[in-house]
Amino acid sequence: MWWRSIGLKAFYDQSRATLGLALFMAAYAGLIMGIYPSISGIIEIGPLFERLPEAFRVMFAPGGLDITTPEGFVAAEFFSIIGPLLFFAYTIGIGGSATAGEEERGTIDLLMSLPIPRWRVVLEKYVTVVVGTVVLGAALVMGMAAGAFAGGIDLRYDGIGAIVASAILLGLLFGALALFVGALTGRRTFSIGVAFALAVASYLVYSLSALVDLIKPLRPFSPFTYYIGGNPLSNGLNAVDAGILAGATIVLVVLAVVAFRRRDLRV
Amino acid sequence: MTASHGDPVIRTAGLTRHYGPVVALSGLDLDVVRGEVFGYLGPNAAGKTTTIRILLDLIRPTAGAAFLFGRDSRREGLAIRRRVGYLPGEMTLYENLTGRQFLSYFAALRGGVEWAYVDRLAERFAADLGPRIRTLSHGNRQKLGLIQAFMHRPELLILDEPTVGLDPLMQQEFYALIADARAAGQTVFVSSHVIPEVERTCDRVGILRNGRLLTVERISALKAKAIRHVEIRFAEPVPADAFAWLPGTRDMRVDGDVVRCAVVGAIDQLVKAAARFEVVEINSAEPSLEELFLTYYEPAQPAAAQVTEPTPPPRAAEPSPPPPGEAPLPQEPASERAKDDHVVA
Repeated sequence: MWWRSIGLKAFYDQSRATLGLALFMAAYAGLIMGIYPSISGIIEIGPLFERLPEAFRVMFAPGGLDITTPEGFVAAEFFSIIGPLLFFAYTIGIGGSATAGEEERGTIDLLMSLPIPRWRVVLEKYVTVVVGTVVLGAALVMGMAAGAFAGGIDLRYDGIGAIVASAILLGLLFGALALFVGALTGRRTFSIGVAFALAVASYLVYSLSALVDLIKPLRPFSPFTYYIGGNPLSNGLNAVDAGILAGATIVLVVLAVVAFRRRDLRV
Repeated sequence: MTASHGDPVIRTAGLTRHYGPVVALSGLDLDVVRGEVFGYLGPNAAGKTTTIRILLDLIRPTAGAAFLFGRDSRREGLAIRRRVGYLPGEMTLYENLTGRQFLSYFAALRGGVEWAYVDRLAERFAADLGPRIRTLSHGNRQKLGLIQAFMHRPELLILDEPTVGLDPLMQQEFYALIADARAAGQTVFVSSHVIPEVERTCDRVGILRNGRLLTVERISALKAKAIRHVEIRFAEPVPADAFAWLPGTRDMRVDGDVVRCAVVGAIDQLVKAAARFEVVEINSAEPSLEELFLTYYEPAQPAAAQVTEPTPPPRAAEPSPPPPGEAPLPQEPASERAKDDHVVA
């Protein structure tokens, strides 16, 4: 059944990466959740956190997060940096390899000699990234649930669900960016590099904008603002923020299709 | 024959492709008619692969247009590619798939093919579809490439240097496959840089050099022009004058028991002359493209004028004269000068 379509084959090709990363993310988040009771039993996180310099507080607890709750703790520990990075590794890696990977390996000329429109290759491959990223998100929620169960914590799943959904949207945005650069240039490592650099830059802009006035005007341009600035853990998924992330993603995918259709393939 | 009737399956009009300052293809006008096997002959970097990639809409022309089945390659590529089977020159397959998985994938993307026919093709090429492509030799990969090109029984086959890497046995099988395709009415467009291969499989040949089409000819005309270097070794020294006056030969050198010369077209006269003595060995290098080009570029230059071509004696075994309407062979009436050109040892 894996050879029925471009999307299914792509999903097969990345199944190992998906499975491995899903297990890792579930275990990592579960572990953080599991150790929360022991940590909160020993030290009072709140007063400790208050004594930290503001720069650290902004970085680890973006959007005025209350990190004394289990959700807040896991959000600070996982969703501030590590979580997005793991999502990026997946979406950017696979998005950047989608068409550019076939071009660099040299399989694209045989593939495009078939009666398949170019837009379909781009779209099917991107849908595969979406499906895989949702799988990662689901694994993450399950891992946290298992950790919470083991630690005897009562988790608020609406908040967790909102921040995971937000992280998925953020990951998909940069995956679409890598897809677009790859479709435009046909260069896999270049597209991955560009997307990753911009992801890091947007993280820095967001976290430093709380501290440095000079950077503050750049804040609306950082996707991280729409990812976590609205504190989805406490407030639920903000429709406008999610819409901005999803809209930018759709624009990039459309641009990727346009770029890939217009261009000579690198054969 | 085939050139005179039938609708064009491939037609290009002023097809041109630049890569920056490099002109890969320049003003190509080509017609390939239904049911013929058309050879696209030229050295590396002549523009053969560029042409093929434009036909399949993998790359776009700088100027001009290509039409397959009367449809524009740019606007109706999808409808065209449904009816085309393609074998790339430098093929990369999905290394992590087995041959069967790869063929299933391509069959599905083509909207399904008759799998029994795939099995027949695999059997014919003795291709094992079980192992992962990663583990296959170049020849076995090439077989998979050929199978995917033929498996949907396309009306048009576009094959870029198809026999590179095939062992001699598989080459024979490939020639038989081409013959079957011709018999089934399929049109074949096959590129090559080897003259004998084109001679053996094609009806007509287009000769490409530096992005320009030099000529399109019937194979019989190409055979009449191709220059072959021959070396014959005899059991004992042979008299030089026994080879001094042979039609269609040039650069004749008789050196004791060895005769070396270049033969234009049919080798018959030389073989018959040699047969009068005890022949130990005949070596013949394959006709060179570069020398063939000279006959198109400088038809009246000294290089071609050395060819001695007296009025053909009335014999059945003579090479057929070029069909009417085609360029005559580069030749000169027999002259004393031509005779003097022979080095008689």
